[in-house]
Amino acid sequence: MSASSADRLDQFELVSRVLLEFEHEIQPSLARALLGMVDAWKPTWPLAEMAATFAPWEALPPDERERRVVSALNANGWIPEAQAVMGVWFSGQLACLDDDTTFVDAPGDAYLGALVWGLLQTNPSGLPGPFFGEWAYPPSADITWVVAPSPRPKAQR
Amino acid sequence: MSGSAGDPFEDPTVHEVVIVGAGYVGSLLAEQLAAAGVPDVVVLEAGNNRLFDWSPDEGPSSSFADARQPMLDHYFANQVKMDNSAFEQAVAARSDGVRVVYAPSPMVDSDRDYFVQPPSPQQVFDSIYMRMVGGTSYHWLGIAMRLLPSDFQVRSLYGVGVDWPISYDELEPWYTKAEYLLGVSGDDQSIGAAWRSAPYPMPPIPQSYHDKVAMAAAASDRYDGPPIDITAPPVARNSVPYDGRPACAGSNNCTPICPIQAKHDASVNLKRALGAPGPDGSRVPNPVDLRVGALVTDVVVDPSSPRRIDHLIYRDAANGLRPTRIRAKRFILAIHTVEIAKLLLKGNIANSSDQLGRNLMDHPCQLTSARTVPVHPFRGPLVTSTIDTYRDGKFRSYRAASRTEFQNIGWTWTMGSPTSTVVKAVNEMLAQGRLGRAIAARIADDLSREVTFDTLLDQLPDPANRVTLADERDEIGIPRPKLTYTIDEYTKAGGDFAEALSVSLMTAMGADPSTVYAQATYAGAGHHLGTHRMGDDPKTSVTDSYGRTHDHDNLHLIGGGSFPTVGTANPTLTLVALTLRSAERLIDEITGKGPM
Amino acid sequence: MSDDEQALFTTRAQLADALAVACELEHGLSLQYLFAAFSLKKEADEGLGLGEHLTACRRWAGEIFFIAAQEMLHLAQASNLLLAIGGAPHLARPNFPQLAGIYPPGLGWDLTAFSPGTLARFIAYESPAAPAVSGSSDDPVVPTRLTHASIAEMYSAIEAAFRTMRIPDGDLFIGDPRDQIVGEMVDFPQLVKVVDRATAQQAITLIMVQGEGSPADRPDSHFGVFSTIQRQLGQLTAADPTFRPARPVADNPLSGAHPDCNPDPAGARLNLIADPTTIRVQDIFTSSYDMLLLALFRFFAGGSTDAAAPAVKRVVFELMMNVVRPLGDLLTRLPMGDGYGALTAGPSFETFPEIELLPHGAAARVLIAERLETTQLDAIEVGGLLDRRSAAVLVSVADHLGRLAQALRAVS
Repeated sequence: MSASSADRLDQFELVSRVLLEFEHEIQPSLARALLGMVDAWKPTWPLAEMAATFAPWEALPPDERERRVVSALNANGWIPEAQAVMGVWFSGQLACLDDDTTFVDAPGDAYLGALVWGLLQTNPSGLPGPFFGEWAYPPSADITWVVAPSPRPKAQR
Repeated sequence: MSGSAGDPFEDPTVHEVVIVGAGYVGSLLAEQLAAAGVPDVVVLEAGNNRLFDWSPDEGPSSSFADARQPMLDHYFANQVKMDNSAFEQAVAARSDGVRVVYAPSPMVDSDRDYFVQPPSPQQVFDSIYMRMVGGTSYHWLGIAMRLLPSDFQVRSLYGVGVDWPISYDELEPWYTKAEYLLGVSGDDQSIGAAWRSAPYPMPPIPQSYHDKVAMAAAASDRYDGPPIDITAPPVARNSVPYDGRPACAGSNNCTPICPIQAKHDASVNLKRALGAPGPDGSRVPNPVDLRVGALVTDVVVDPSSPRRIDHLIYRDAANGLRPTRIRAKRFILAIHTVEIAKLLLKGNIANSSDQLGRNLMDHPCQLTSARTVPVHPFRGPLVTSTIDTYRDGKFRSYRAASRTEFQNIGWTWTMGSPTSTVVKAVNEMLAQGRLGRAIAARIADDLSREVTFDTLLDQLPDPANRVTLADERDEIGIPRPKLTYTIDEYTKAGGDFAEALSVSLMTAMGADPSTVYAQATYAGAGHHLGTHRMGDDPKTSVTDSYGRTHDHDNLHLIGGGSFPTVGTANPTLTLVALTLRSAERLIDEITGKGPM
Repeated sequence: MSDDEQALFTTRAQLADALAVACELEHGLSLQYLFAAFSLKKEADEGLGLGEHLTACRRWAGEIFFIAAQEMLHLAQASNLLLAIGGAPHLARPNFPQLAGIYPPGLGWDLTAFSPGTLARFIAYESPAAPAVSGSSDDPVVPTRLTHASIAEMYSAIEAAFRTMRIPDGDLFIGDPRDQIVGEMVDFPQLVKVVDRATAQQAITLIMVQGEGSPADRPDSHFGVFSTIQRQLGQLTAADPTFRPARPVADNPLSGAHPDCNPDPAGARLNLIADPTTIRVQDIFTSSYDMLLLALFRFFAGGSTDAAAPAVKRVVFELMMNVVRPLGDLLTRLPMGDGYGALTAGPSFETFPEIELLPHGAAARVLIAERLETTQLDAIEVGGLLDRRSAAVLVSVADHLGRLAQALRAVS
């Protein structure tokens, strides 16, 4: 398999959109860093095959897409790959596999860009801020933007 | 290896003072001596890391610009997020680890590469440290708590342990001085049994939302545990701008490194000792001579006068680890509890009491986790509340005192959250046929409910808990420290009490019983204490209350090793207070105002 | 006390007037600082990358937010002083921008982004010494009631008035002590309850020391912190001239001009937002800020005796933390619109004549709750017009507005 690195990045973005159910633009520099981590873990992982399998389903309604994708993961034995891809997006670390001694090098982008901070409604630990005393109150952010748009809320009158 | 071939290189000067170690004690002592005008103070430090822009050639005209950004960068890129992950030396076993080969430190992930201990899962001594400029001060939590008056007299009051050679009242002025030097934020209303001669320099740090949930639960009729009072602990973390450093901004990273230096660290004092201007522009009259990459291997007694130390031998990393002899009128060892014992045992120095290396203590930590109502952790300083209610009481005759803290970082300590929580959610949800959006919601919910309490337990001095020299040697041939360590029933009784208290409070916070997890072994608090305890009697102690060894008039040992007992206060503030007290004595001696 | 000291104020009315000006001043400073903090970039993808630029911008934002919070503490403190001598809470103030010279020390009164110029202005406000001021005090348009060359001097005059006024304590401090706001109520443990001359003195000292600093401790005062930030900004810009710490935020970005807007001919411009969606976000912000003020009026007036105080306090704090803050930050990322190129808006803190102390607590709660509900509906609608990330802010804001309205309505 001799895909160009641009092709592989496109494939990785597609696979990420499908697995993470992203409905927004993906930052290419972050995607490149995360792809590098998965590649370091398993240089021959079936990225092209996964992308080719998922591509026709991208436009399906979310429930239908989820059903087909999960079936394909199970049928093809791609669960570890799916765990790895989702793990690096959510946590910035590739430690999501049974073998927890798997550590691969990662640029700081992976940590700072991890989705988990948005889900925690906080800053990546170690970045300065937000400001004194913020922790004394419950957080205020909306977490649904982390992977997909907020649902339109209804007025509560 | 001390016996390396050839004569050592000679430093021709007989210095006024040689301080070994540039951690908390060494840096503060250096600053005090330099500020008092003591000339010719040399500081030897094994580490060679850079905390700020300084070079020996430029000396006091160095820029002293803070250099924490490379450490932050290293932390962000380091796949192992642990207490010492910001230091490039930290991860010895990893591909990016740059090890200080000549001065290894115990590591979180590979402490047995250095300490010689029994294999897991036996209870071992579970604390680590770093041999580097600044010592452990970049990754201490910042709790700056006084010991209680009773902690100095547990033998007299409760019939356990030993009494200190000094009382709380004697140390109180030094505690106050330490609080103003470090900059401590605290609540004057929650002083407990420790009387104070001055208010805290700063108001307390606000307690977190998590803490407020716990406080409401404790006040509710759902709580059926023993009476408790939940208060903000005193911390060396700014609640208002102080000493030219900003207020805490809630960066949630007190360990391994505060990105804005809202938390005090030893670089503040080391810089000034080296001649950097303070916030008001003033400089010390006599900057110290800091030599980094200087690993002391031998302490040598004057053959003609056995009560005097004549010289030290250190390996000079800048010159191919060349052995170098350095002489001084006074030597102060401040290289850490374990390292002091190791160095002196190697030469059989200062050990007529046979107490050297013995009575090794920590604050064994009882850890309990559970899933409760949402508390939204991972925000704010890592600890913003303490339960001081059981730091003292008659029960101390049979059960260890305990001090419970709430962790503002979910299950990090017990389970490795947030990564472990992500892993579990991804794997379980995937098995249920779910993808991104559902997994994200699950992760957010799981993390918002993670609660961990840690309880620091008093540990009595036990001569059998000790540092000795192992047969195994480090890379340059120095025997590695062998640790023999057990936790006795007295401490375990405190642990059981703490666990029951934690479970009661978590239950009141809505804990799901199936998620309650109490760790089977006790974690280390990173508080290495004992090994060269102070005392009035040369037969049962290594130094006097000022740190002067009973055996050698010009050898002083200052640090956590000086503690006869440990109470339940994190040791740094006491260690700083002891250092300031000893510094004044030394300055008086040198300037001819005091004893000796 | 020196009896021969020339006190500027000798009557209660004069002192009350000076304290009212102090309240306006602290309020206005806090908003200007908040605006500058909001304008700072905070993410790596705003051109900061990873590394010291990101660290510095986020550290500065935290430091400036902190100072803004201390100004709010000073506002509460000045309010306690005013109530102690029988006055009313004072939160009214003219809209931005205002002529240089309306407040000591005679500098511009503008909402401007973080920049060397803005920092220089902040440093001058907090300066322990009277700065050289352009636009002298004999300018005919400058109000004459205040002639202080610096904020420090103004507080010294207030302090002297308390000390030298020939009225016994019992006659001077006629306010009900139960109306004093205490530190625990507002998460400011340092807040001083003013009941006599000693506590008044303590209160003024707190404000002065945190502002311009004591001679022994200047680095940690507002003056010192701003000076340090200015120095650090200079060093980073010298090392990398392309460093742009702030978003391209327009000066004084208002959704509409107000009769009391009074731009200084030599100062920053008043800019009217052109983008229709940004205007709607600005209006939601304004409405939320105004509700915050109405609630704060009630809070300051009700003191610790009002049974509704916890709910009112909750409205004040949650509006501040969960509505005003995220919207303020969002506005600095939204476009000004046609004719402004790449310029973005910012929170304008617009206020209206009807924002004043509502005398009846129960009626006030209904009025505020109604307005929160209207604003909530608007936030939901506007959220649908924005991109994903901005919409998330509006969703969260709408959620909080609805919950606060419910909390107010739940007070019997």
